[in-house]
Amino acid sequence: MTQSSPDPNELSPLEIKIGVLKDWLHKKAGPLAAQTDAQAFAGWNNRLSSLLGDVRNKPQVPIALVGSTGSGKSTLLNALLGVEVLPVSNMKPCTAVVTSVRYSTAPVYQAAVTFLSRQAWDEELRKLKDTFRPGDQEDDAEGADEWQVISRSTKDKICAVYGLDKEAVETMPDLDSLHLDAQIAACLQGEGSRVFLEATTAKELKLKLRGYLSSEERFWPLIKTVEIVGPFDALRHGAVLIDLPGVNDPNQAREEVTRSFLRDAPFIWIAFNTKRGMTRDIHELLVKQDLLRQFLMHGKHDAVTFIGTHADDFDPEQAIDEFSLDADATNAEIIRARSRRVVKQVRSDLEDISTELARVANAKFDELERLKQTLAQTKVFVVSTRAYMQLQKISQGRKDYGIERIDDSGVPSVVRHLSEVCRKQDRRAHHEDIERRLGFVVEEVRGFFLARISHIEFQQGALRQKADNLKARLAGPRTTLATETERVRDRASVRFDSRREQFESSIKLAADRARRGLDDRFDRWGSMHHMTLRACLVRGGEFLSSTGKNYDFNKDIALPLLESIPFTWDDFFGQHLRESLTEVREQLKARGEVFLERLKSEASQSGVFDADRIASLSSDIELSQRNIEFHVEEKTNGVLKTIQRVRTELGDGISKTIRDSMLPAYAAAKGESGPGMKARMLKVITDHARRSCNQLFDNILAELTDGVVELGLQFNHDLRELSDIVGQQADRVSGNLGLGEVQNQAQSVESMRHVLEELLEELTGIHPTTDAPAPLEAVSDRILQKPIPGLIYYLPSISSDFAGFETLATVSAQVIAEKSTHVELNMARTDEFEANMAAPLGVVLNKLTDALKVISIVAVPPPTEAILRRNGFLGAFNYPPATDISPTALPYQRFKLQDSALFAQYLLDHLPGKGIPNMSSGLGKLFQQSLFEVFENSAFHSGSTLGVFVCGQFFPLKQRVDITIADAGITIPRNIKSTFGWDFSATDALAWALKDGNTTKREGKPGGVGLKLLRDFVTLNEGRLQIASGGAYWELNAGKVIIHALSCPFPGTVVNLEINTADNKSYRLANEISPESIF
Amino acid sequence: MSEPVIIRVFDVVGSPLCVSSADGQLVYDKLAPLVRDGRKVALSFAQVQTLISAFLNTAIGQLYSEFSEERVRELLSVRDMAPEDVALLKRVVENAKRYFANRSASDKAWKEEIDHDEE
Repeated sequence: MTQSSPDPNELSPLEIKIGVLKDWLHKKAGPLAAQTDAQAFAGWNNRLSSLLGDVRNKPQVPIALVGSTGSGKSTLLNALLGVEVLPVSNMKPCTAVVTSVRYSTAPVYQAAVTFLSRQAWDEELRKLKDTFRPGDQEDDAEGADEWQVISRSTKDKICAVYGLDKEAVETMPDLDSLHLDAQIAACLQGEGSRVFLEATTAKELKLKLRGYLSSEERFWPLIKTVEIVGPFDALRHGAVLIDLPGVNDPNQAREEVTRSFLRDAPFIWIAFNTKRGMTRDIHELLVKQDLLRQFLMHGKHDAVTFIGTHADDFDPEQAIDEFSLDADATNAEIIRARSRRVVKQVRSDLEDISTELARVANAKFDELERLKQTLAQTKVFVVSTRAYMQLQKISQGRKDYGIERIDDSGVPSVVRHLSEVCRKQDRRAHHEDIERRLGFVVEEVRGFFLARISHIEFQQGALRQKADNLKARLAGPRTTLATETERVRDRASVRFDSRREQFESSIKLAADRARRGLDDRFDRWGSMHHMTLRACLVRGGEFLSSTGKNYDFNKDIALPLLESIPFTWDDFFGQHLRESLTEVREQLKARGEVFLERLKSEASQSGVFDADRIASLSSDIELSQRNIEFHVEEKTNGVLKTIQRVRTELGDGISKTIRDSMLPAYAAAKGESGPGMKARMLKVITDHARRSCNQLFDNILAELTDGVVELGLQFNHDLRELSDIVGQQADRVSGNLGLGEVQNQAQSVESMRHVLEELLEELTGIHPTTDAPAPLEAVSDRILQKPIPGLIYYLPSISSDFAGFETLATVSAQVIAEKSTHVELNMARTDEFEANMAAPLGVVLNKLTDALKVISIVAVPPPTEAILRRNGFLGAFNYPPATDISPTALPYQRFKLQDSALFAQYLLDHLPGKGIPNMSSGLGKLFQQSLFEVFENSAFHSGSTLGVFVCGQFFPLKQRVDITIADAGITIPRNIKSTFGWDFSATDALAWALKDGNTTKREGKPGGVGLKLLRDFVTLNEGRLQIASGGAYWELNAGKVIIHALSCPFPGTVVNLEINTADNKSYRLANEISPESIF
Repeated sequence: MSEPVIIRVFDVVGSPLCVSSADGQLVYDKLAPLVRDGRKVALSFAQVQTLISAFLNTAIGQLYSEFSEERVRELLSVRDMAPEDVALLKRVVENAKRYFANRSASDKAWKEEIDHDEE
């Protein structure tokens, strides 16, 4: 991509510094170092690589803002920003868009308005059509009023978009007869088309935005998100404020945006109206909209802040009475008294709500107590935004709110809270942090070389014998250190395992409760209005009415299981893991310190070293302790993040699994109409739920267990790294003291001094500058960044689709073209990697190795590492292999072309259990046959000297299994060209090869059936087939074929076969072919 | 009518997996001389578990480059074959007949189609 991007990201000074050090280690210092130093060099190199990854992870702190209708969220936002930029009037509360606001240094205000895609809008219309069907009659009065409100708001939306006169439209218009005008249609074109707005003042931008967001205008139902960027001082530390509309949105695309922010934002601020009575308002949000349970599920109870608005809105006389104040109490005093009351009330409300949640979840007493304690820490603010705006001269107006001091408006404390929240994430602080860590590496390197220099001089000295004695005396303590750290680690993993067992048995109990209580929950569905019921069905079981009522069948089915999450889950994921992590951390640090102290005292008593050396030893030990502290901290945070991620994914997976399993029933039920339809709809879905619930809960439990086991593997791995850090630092310090193994005595002391000076000089020559965030348009990430000295390639996330193949092909082409032999594949930003793509990545890397490049894979983030480790891929690239291959993985393996028997054995070893028992035997046989067809195709045509690369992954919940077979040989387009001499484009050539009977086989051998069989099979099975070969990519998915040209050719052929294992069609033939009619 | 010579594919390949062209060639090398001599041959697929098109193309499909359809039909028969494997064989045979009948023409037809598309 470097070549094709006109303006590659400039490297920041910090990146250049890191690059220089890496380059120096590799080119200058490397030749001077001894064999035994290789590990130290690799360690530095790895740390530098992960620093580079961090530099590019720009710290931003998303703060999601939610609030009930009328809580004055937009005004609060304007107050925090110190300017009026969000339009506050004429907004439709129930359809408001997701608006994010962030900081930029440029003195302009910009906004990007993103529209829904045509597809998303059509989908919404389709749901409306399915819900409002003519001729529906059912005799249920309950909920009828609600439906009048819903249909009115739906009508508003339709009228706005299609430009109809609201007054003239009496009933729901016939949606099929409506047409979008050109301007509106243009907005919906493509995937999220955008409009960019720019203004020199916030107010001007607000006016421009109003044209899109106001309910007087025509666009509001079609907007997905609005992003605002401007010089908002309050956000300069990296905060991004995200104004979220209701948790459920009639438009699914928009709702997904909201949900993802709620899930991923590390902080959530809840605005409520103090005047309306906080109890009602908070209850509405936390209980009815189910926010609290979601926060608890995601382990976010400490991320929540409450902000009560309209502090100034009260009747003074009544208030004086209520709070027993003096009759002449000032407004400010009343506000303070009232605020104290509000804070107390919010906390007690939270306590009540959690008691209620604990009751339904059968939580234990101590689990509830712990939750209460956490919630008691929740920050609560009470503000008067209007008074603040007026006092700050942000808005005009002269109303007396009775507040004279800005501080009394409460807003300044929220602003302070905002900056406190962000301080840790401050962009500059982030860079300083990296500088500091870079400093550690530089100091270590420097210390290492200085020590080597004096060591070489020292070796010739007469004290050699004494030094050897000292070394011998330290051998014991070093062994003790190793055994002790190992013991710490072992204890932690044993504890993890026993906790895991407890967790598993609690979720089993909750699942049993969920199974048993289904009927109660079905009864509730029976009391719904028939329109509501259908609205739920057409929306996959989930519906939020415009009146704010929330229905969720999928959640209902698993309710007891979900209810247990805040307690059972928190017990496991929160409390205990955190505790054992802290304990491990402290113990490891203490063990390291004991050893280093011993080292110091032995060294001073030995009489080997002069005062200078002992002084430098002391500072080296200090560096070491800071180093351990820092890395341990960093690693611990990483583990905590992983825990959080696993917890969120597993929690979200529950509803999703149920939804997937229930969808067919919803689709079948929504077709019912006429008298008695409600009863029939209910019967369809409840029957289905009862029938499938056992399998369903088994699947959910299996998924949870898998997830937790995986977390355990990751946990152990991280603990190992943690204890390794301690060991490494101990060795580093003793090595520097001259007690390590050094072989290169003959090395010139002078050249070492010189090279080291050069480095330090170069590093000090680079001055850091603060870099401003890129303007809006430049924010989009580039696939591959400009290579840094030492040739580093950043691999982005790789998915099993066109984009994934395009990326791999590009990496391959670029690295091959580079002169440098050493290539580092930095995966710091490979946040996701679809397991089956390991096979094509294997092709690319082996092709590079074959071209005599030296490849190292570095900085693999934990989620990706987990995936690539459990299928054994990383093991093939000098990463320690996984202790055991996951039962869902088909391991990464390389075969020679003639090894079809070994391939057969591979399938025999790894295919059973991957959904195959669910397949009808006919399907299983065809599947195997297809895989052999692909393997033979590679064996016959590719002539790949590097062989064939195979791997795969089973997705039990999706009921899919992927197998990828890739070769590094002659590609299909190439083969056609060399056989026939045709000058097809790569895409035409691949299309040709996939047509029946076309083959490049010669010498009297017919061919060209294999790939076509595969195609027919995949179509019938509703699976997916992807082929990338040379410059072409071909995909068959859901019966549709797409074909694209790759911008760089892939160096081989990849076939990815994804089979739907839930397929229970019979593949046995109805009419047998008589043997006589074959030939 | 004389009894046909029986060739057991399992014995020739030495495995229940008939998944490579090379193994197909082993079968063809046994089969072709017999057909050339005008002997009746029955191919038995007893104990064969997995068959792929590439194997059948080489083992049987390439007969049509040398022998007429009538000749093959007269002399060759198969037995002990699962119905879906028979269907696969049928497909391979049809493809081979078409391929040898009209090899260059079909290649050319496609080329023209593509050239046409790009105009």
